[in-house]
Amino acid sequence: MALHIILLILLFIVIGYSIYRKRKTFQSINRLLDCVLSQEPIALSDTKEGELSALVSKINRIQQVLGKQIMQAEDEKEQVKSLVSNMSHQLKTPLANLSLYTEILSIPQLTEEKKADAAQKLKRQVDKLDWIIGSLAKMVKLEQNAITFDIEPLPIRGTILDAIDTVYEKAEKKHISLTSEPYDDILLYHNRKWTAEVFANLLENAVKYTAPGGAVQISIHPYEIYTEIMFTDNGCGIRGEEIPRIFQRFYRSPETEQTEGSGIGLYLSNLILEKEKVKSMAKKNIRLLP
Amino acid sequence: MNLIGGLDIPTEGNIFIKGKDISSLTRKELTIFRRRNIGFVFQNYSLMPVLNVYDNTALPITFDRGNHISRGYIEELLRELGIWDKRKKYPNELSGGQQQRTAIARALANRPAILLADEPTGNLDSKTTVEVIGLLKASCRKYSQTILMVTHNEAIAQICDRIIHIEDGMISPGIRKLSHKGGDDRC
Repeated sequence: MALHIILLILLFIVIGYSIYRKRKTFQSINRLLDCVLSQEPIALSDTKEGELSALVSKINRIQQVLGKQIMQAEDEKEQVKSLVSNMSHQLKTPLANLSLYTEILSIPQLTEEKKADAAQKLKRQVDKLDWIIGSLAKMVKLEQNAITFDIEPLPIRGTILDAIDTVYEKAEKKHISLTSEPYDDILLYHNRKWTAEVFANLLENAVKYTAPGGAVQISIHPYEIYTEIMFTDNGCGIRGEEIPRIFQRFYRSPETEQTEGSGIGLYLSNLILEKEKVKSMAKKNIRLLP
Repeated sequence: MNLIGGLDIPTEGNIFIKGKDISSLTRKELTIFRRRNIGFVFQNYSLMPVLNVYDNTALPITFDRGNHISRGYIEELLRELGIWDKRKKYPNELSGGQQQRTAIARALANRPAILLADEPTGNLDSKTTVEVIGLLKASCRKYSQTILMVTHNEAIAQICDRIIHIEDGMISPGIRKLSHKGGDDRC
């Protein structure tokens, strides 16, 4: 009989103890999660054996990941702010020119010749505005992943030729030769229209920043996991320290102050290529297509 | 890589991981830290010959008494690496490439914060290499992991966010590559 009572008491002690332990565990987990909420560092060690320490280790990581995401969100907010200010800067000059030319056109004694001239300049500014706003819209949509375009295995030669078509005239005007090494046409995963736009942008840059009489060359090298498409020019080149920055939004090298440009081209190209899972590198402008 | 993974002790200097000086940890703490935070892919795979693929993959998790095996995740990993149907086989029944993929699965199974990989695609054909690299990249972004890879393959190196060249035991000035969004330089 006494044995039964002892066993019963033992049972109650065991049950009482497990309830106590459970509550303690619950409380320590609660305290850990509070630390995450209030973004405080956790004092417990994450290098001990046992479930609590394993949990602490995991919660530490969650804290870090959350912290990183918060930082990224704030970075993006700053980017948007700078985007808006950049945009208004970009648009200021064409708009000022627009109002200038419209004023000229409203002068009653203007000769036909001067009118035609002003009208032409007006149209150019409108075109420029159109292009800037169009590019900015594309850029924003691409960043927000609001545009999806189809990527299929297509022969790359057609795309390259499309791009050359767009740029040929400008190259001719400056007497810059546009050649490509002979290559076998290959199927690559890309979207023809958008990729042609990217190539055209690269070619335009090459033509823009190369002195008249220079040369631009396109070459293609297939490797095992990707294909490299390289655009080389013998123009003024890019300084080593600037290379990581040339793909940034609105970045223009201080050396290009004399040439016209908005700084959006490479950034936009990079966005498009990233969507197609292409890596871009600039030592001499290399595009890697899978 | 052995130094970062805490497998070797530096003769000089300190190693900081997540702000913690790992040379200040005791051996036992270092082991636990390594088990929870670092995944290894060795060049010679170092798989347990007495365990099958599935058990080899789940090994680091089973060691950690505090952790539970997430069966769904392991299955997902093995399927992605194309070795799910070999999960009951033993390492000596697998090809070199399959063993390498098992080693990668094992390294990823615990979702470690850092992955140290020594030529992880050395024995794989080009198609599998693309898939494995894709898997590593995706895992890295999803779980905010850092993957440190040693490779002699220029093509693989180009796919990474940052390249550090080591010549004769010294770091030569690295070419910084670009980070994901906005093309902004992040270090």
